[in-house]
Amino acid sequence: MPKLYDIKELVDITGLPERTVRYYLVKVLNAPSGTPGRKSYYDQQTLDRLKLAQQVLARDYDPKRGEVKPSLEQFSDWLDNLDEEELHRLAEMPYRIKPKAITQPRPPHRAPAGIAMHTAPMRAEKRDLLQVMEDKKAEHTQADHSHSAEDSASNYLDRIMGPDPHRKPEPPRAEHWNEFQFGHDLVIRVRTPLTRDQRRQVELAGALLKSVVGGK
Amino acid sequence: MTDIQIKARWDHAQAPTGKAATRGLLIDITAPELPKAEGETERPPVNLALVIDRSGSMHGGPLEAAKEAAMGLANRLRDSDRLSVVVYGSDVTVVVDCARMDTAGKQSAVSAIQHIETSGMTNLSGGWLRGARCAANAMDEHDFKSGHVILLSDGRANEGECNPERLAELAGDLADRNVTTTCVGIGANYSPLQLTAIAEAGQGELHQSSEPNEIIEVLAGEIGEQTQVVARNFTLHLQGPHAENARQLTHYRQPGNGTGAHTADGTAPINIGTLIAGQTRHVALLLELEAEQLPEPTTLHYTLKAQWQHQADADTQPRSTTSQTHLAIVPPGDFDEETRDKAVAETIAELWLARQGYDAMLHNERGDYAMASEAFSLNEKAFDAMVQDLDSAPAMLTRRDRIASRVRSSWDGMSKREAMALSRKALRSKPDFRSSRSDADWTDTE
Repeated sequence: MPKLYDIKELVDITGLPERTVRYYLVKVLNAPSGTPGRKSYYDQQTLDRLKLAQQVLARDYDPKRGEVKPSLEQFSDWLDNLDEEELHRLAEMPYRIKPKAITQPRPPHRAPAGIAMHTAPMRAEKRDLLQVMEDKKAEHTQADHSHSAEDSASNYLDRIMGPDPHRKPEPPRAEHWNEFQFGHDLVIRVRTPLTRDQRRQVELAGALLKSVVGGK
Repeated sequence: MTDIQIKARWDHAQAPTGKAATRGLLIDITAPELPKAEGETERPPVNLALVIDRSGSMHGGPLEAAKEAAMGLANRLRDSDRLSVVVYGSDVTVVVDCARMDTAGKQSAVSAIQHIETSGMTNLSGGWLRGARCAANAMDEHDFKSGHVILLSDGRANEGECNPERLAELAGDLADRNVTTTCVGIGANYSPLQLTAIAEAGQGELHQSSEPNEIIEVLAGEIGEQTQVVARNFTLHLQGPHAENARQLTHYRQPGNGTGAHTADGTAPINIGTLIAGQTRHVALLLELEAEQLPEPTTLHYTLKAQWQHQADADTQPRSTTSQTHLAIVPPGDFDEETRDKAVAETIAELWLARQGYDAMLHNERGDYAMASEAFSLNEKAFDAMVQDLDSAPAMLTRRDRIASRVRSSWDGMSKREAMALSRKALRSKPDFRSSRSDADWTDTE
């Protein structure tokens, strides 16, 4: 059976204060921080991730050397892209990880789906609002080309709110009209549909108009 | 009319070989003034929708001020402009529907606005989307290329869509379809998260008004700007050696939001949004170069590519321009620390400080106090290095410490809303239209 660690062991191995370990568990690893009075156990992967957190997040950075500390989110994203084997190898590595390796984005194909799915709900709450939009735009670009210039704001609002009951009707197009020709000089055009009675009345009106204007 | 001017300046245009260097790049984008004909500015007609909260809490001064501002707006518009006025409480009512602002249209709009009264809860999303629909209908029916919604609220949405992320999605989708939104938060009880979400994604502004007379000033200023739009969807893209490492310190829309996302040949495009005649917008970038990237003396050439939709263009073809800047990599013996441009460094530092404060306040609003503190601590050393030789360094660091201590715990009320709105304006180089607060310091939370 694989070894499991309790919070005290995590503190002893990583050398981090217990409060920091609990903070990283929740904020970075998306793991339960444990309930006071009840023992929680953590697997090797969690320990490896904590070791990397200790190495990357709990050290000083020198801006004069161009070093910028990765944000929790960048670090968490970077962890999500590591598989179990690579995670363990990096955690045991005697060298310091370069911050650039974490802050520079990597191709999406490296993300292991299991871990990413596990962390997604928490991450969504903390994402920057501008980021929400950009992510959504990227999804649209990749998956849905219906979001294009032809998709006007009113069509979009129709989709999310339902059709606008107050919108003025579109101007009628040629195919919507019935034409009544009374000789060369007189034409009456009427919007369809017309009932039989209405047609008869239009024909009578046309005959009357023809007599008034003298159409041939 | 002259073209849009783009000027790029480094805080230090030199860096020594074989040593890591961090350089700030300040980009000024200046929109030209609109031409004047017979004493009046030539401008295309505007398509505005004013959405007013009429929930019970707006009773008295705030609603009267909003009505006065709306009537003032109607009277200031020109014959060819279109105005919609929507009010929302629990229900949503279109008071003025896309009316042409000729003499008769103005009279009928003013009369309708006078009769607005308070009622019900706060269906913010219902009112806002109805206003957007009025603006969208005007685009369909009267050939406007864009519409702008101004949303006033003094409360937290408690009916309709309330989730800030969903509101941001809707606002972003509408902005992509040329319907932008500006928000005016009134008093101390509105939700900064909800209004910020709409304003940020909606490519508009977030204004704060504490007094009824400020509502009038803010609306007058906002409407004045809408009649002075020179360009929309202005985007900027830096290309050059290691430009992919450039981090945006300001807070304009950018894939990855300035935290490292890039294209193959430089930064991801930064979306500045709308440019107003005569105004200059600042964009600040931080370029981090490692020692091994600077092995020998050379000149690093950078190109800024800009693209925008000109407001007066009838066609949809965007305009574009480019601008050049360079960074000299010199032998350590020739490197002169004194050639640093302190004025540029100071402007970049001010923008950066506003960014840290704004991020911290957003985290604080979400109740994440640890992340709020990290907004400052993560940047502490790099920021200290940026300001170290500036005369204003002690004052800036004092302001940073003051706001950093404030965001570490629960903070609510007017002072935070003031600070959030002002820091966002500072980041977007936008003026505060309120006459009594023209010199307001966003960190002044007393």
